[in-house]
Amino acid sequence: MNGRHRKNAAFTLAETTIAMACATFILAALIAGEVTLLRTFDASDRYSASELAAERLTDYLGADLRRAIWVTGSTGGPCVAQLENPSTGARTPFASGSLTFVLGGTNLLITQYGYYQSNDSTNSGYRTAAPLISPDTTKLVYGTTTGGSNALLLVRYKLVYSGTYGSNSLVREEAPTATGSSAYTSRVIAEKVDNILVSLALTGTSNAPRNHPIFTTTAWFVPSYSQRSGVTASAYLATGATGRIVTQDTVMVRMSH
Amino acid sequence: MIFKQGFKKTGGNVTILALLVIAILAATAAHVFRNVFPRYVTTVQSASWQEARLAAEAGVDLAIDALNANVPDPAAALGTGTSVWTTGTYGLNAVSWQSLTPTGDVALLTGGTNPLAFLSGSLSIPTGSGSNGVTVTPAVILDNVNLHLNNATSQASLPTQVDVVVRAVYPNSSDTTNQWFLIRSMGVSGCGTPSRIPVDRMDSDLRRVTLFSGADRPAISGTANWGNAPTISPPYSTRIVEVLVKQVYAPVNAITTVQNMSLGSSAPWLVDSYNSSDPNKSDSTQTGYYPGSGSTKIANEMGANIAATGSGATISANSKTVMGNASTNQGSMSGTSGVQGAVSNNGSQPVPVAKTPPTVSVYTPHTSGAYLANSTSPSSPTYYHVTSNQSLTFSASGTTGKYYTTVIMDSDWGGGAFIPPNVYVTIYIQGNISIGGNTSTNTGSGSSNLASHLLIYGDAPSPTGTNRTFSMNGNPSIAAYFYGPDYAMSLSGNVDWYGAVTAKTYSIGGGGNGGMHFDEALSKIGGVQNFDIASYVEDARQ
Repeated sequence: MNGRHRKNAAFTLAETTIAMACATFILAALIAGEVTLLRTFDASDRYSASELAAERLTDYLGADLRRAIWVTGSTGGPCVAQLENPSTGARTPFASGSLTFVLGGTNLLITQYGYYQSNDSTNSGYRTAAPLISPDTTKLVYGTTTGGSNALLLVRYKLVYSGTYGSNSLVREEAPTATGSSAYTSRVIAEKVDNILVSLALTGTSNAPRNHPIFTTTAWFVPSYSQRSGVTASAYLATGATGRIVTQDTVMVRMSH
Repeated sequence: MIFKQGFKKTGGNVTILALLVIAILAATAAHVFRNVFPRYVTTVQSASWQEARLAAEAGVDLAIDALNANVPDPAAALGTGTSVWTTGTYGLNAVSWQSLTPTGDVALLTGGTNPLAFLSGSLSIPTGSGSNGVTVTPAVILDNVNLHLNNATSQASLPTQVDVVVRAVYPNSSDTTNQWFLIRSMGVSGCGTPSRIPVDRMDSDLRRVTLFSGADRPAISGTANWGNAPTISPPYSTRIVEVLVKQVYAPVNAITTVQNMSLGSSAPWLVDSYNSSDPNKSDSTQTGYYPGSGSTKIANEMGANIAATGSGATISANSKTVMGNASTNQGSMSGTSGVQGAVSNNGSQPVPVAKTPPTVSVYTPHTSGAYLANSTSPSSPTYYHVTSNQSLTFSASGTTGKYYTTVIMDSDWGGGAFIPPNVYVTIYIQGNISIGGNTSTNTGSGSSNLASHLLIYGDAPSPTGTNRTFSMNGNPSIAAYFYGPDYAMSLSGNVDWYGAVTAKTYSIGGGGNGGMHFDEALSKIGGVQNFDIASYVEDARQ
C-alpha cells in the first residue's frame, strides 16, 4: 500500500512551481535565442542579397561603360565623360569628373555606338551584329547595308517603385537616343534597393587623345543591422558613416578616337 | 523492479528529446544550407563569369601581340610613305602564334600538342571588292586554347579556354595600306560547382551559364561554333568580346628617345602639336605652317606626346609645357607639372633599329650644293651621293606634281637645306650633325616648311664604335622628321623644330622662345608601329 502510494505520489505545489519556472526560463531563453538566430539569419540573408545586388549592379555598369562614348546624369548636371556628343556628333575627348548616382534622384545615361541590327527584342536582328561599313572609305563602323551608320544606343539606369515588392527597384533600360522616352527593353536588375547607393567617378584621365579613361564604380549599401532607429539608409550613405559595405570596380573605357 | 520501470520511462523521454533536438538542428541546418548554397553557387558563377571576360580579352591580346610580332620590319618601311603590310598570306602566321611563351599571368598553353593544329586560315585578300564598301578576308582562328591564370603551371580551379577569330578588313578595297583587323574572342570558364541555377533570376539574366552538355551556348561566329566545343565540363560561363583594331603609325610622339630625355629650361620653350594638313590646325594664310605658339587653333591640340622608351629611361620635364602625354618604360619622371596629358611610367613603345641606306648602283651626277629632283616616283627617286659637308639646295625638274630625291651623305653635316614645296627629300646620313647660327633647314621663304618633305635617317654607330651626335645651337630652325635611335641629341639656344624626333637621348639647355612643334600630319611616314582598339563590343546577346 505504501509502495503504491509512493508510486502515485505527485510533486508538491512548490516543486511544480519551481519546475515550471525553470522550464519557462529555459524555454524563454531558447525562444529568445531562436528569435535572435532567425534575426541574424535574416540579416545575413539580406546582407548577402544586397551584396549580390551590388555586385550585379557594378557588373552591369562595367559592361556598359567599357563601350561608352558618353556618360552623364539626367538632371542637367555636367557631363561626366564624353567621346562623341550624341546630340551634335561632335567628337571631343573624355573630360574628368564624378557623378554620384543617387537612386531616386539622378538617372544615369550611357550612350554607346549601335552594334546590333536591331535593339528591338522582337526583331529578328536583335541578336545579330550589324555589318561593317566604311562611310568615308577610311574607317570602319557598324552600320546598315544601305550604307548608314547604326543609330546610337542609350542605356539608362533609373529607380522605379515596385508595388510587387513595396520597395524601389533598379531598372536598366535600352532605348533610342532621340528622346529616351520609349524603351526597347526594361529589365529589373536589383530589387529592394532602398539601402543601396551608387557613385561613379572618372579618374586618371586627361584630354589627351588615345588615352582611355578609367571609371571607378562604387555601390554602397548599409546592412540592416547597422541601421539605427531614425537614421535612414540614405543618411548613412550621404554622410559616409561607418558600417557601409562597399563593392567597387575599376573600368577602363575601351573606345578610342 | 519499480526502479527499473521508472528508469526506462525516463530513458525514453531523453531519447525522444534528443531526437527532437537533432531534428530541430537538422532542420535549421537544412534551412541554412538551402539558403546559403544557391548564394555560393551564384558567387562562384559570378567569379567564373568574370574570368570568362578576362579570358576573352586575353584572346584579343594574343591576337594583337601576334599582329605586332608580324609587323614585317618597321625600320624597313620607314620613308615609303605607305603601310608596311604586304598582301597575300601574311600576319598571324604559325610561327608567331607558336612563339608566344608563358611569361605572364595569362599564358598560352598548347595542350602539349602541336600548336599548329589549332591554327587554320590566312589573312589573304579575297578577290572582288567585298560588300558594303569594305573587304573582309577569310579568318584565322585559334580553337580551345587553354589559359593559365595567376602563373599556374596547370589550369586553376576555374579552367579557362579561349577561341579567337581574326579577320583583316579594308575600309577601301582599292587601298590595301589602310588595314583594320576584326578580332572576335570567346572566353570559356568553368564554374566548378554542381549545375544549379543562381538564387535569383536577375543573376541568370546577366550571367548566362551553360549548365549541361549539349545545351545552347554562345557561338563565336554568330551562327556556329568555330572548331571544337570547349573541353571544359559544364557548368561554364562564356563571354564574347569583339574589337576592331586599327594601325598606329610612327611617329606617334613629338620626341621619342631610347634613353634619357631632358627638356628645355627656359620658360617659353614648349612641346606642342599642329596639323599641317588641316587648315583649322595650322596657319591657313601659309598653308600648313605652324600657326604660332599659343595660337587658338592649337590651344586644345593634345597630340604632342613625349616618350622615353628604353627600360628604366628617365624624363626631366623641367616643368615645361607638354601638350600631350609623357611616358617612360618603368623609368621615372621629374618636373611634370607642365605635362597637360597623362603621365605614366608604364609605357612601352618599340623603337626599331636605325635604318640602313638603300643599295644604289648608279648615282646621279651633281654640282656641289645643287640637287635636281627629276623623279615623280617615290619608289625610284633621284639618288645623290654626297661626301662632304655642305648646304643642300634642291629644285624640281617640273612645276607640277611631286618630285622625289634621296641623298646618301657619307660625311658630317652642318645642316642647311632649301626644299621647294613640290620636292620630297630623304637623307641617309652616316656621320654627325651639328647645326648652328641662324641656319634654316627646310624653313624660311621658298622652302616647304613641312616636315613631311624632309626625312633624315641617322645611321647606326660607326664601325669604330663612336657614338653619333646631333647638336644644335644658336637660332636655327628646321622642319623635318629625324629618325636616329643611335644619336645623342643636344640642343641649346632658340631652336625651333617643326616635325618629330626619335633619338638615343634628347637634351636641350635653355630653349628660349623655341620649341618642339609636332606635326600630326607625319602619320604613316614611319610605318606601322602599333595597334589601337578603335571599337570594343561585348556581344552579350549571343
